Amino acid sequence: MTTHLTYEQVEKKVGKAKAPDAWRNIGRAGGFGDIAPNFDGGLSLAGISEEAQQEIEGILAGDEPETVESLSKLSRTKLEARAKELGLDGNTYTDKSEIAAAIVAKQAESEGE
Amino acid sequence: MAGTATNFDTTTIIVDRVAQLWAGVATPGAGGRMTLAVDPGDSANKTPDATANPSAIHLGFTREGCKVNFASSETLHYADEIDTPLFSTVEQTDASIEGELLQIMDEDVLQKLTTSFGTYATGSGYKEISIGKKTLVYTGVALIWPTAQDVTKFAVAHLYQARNTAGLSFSISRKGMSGTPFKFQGYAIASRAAADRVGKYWYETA
Repeated sequence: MTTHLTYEQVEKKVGKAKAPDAWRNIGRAGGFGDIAPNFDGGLSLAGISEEAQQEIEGILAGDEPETVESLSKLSRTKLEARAKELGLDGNTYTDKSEIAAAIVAKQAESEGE
Repeated sequence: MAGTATNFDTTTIIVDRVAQLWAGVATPGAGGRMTLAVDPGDSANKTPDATANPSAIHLGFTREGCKVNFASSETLHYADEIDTPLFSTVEQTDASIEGELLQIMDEDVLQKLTTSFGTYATGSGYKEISIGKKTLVYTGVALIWPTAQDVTKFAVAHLYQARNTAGLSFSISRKGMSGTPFKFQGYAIASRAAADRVGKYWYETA
């Protein structure tokens, strides 16, 4: 796992078109916030949680669709936040795999529209 | 009954310490701090870790050191019946590091100072900063200095995302020494935790 990431590196990994979204998602996954793409210092990945590192690796891998299994590795708080972004209420599910399944179903539904 | 202890502690006062101003430092994740490491040129000094901060640039000499500002402006709310405020609301919170940099012919320093209007280029026999409109670039800025209690421990004032808002302004004269005032203004990183959006002042204890 790299210890430092710049916008240019993300662009090389996922391509120019996906880079803005990937950069934003990496910022949120690692708790960096929405760092401006035109920021010259990059992100220091030292000290962030293993879970966040895994999530960032997944974002950089880019082409792998999210599955119930991969989403279930996230914390409940993060899953609920992801669910909320999709208009779902994570509180109504009893365990993480149910939230993950709902997210995957919602994403598939959105892609189908 | 016993009195309460006083807090006269000279080890918490900073005097006679040299601070280093760095730009291009990386932003740490939530709850994190920038990584320091022993200076390869001076084993008694610490600088930004080169692996975690590969774009970090030391901005060199200053005329009289640096001033760190963390401040909020407030509005006080009064009732007509009482002459003292009942409430207060914080209107703005500002963070900045300012001073005067001396190395005005250092292209690394110039690039960090002119991010609002300067574009650097070099070619055979020249280096230049062309002046005009450009996309704003933000930089991470950190002031690092040894603590008073223990010179092997260091303190850091870090602005996660900043820009110089004082431009580039210098004099050339026979008697005077060159220098340009700077002010790195910190900007909030939205969606970061509210209490940790702009920067951090911290120091090593172990």
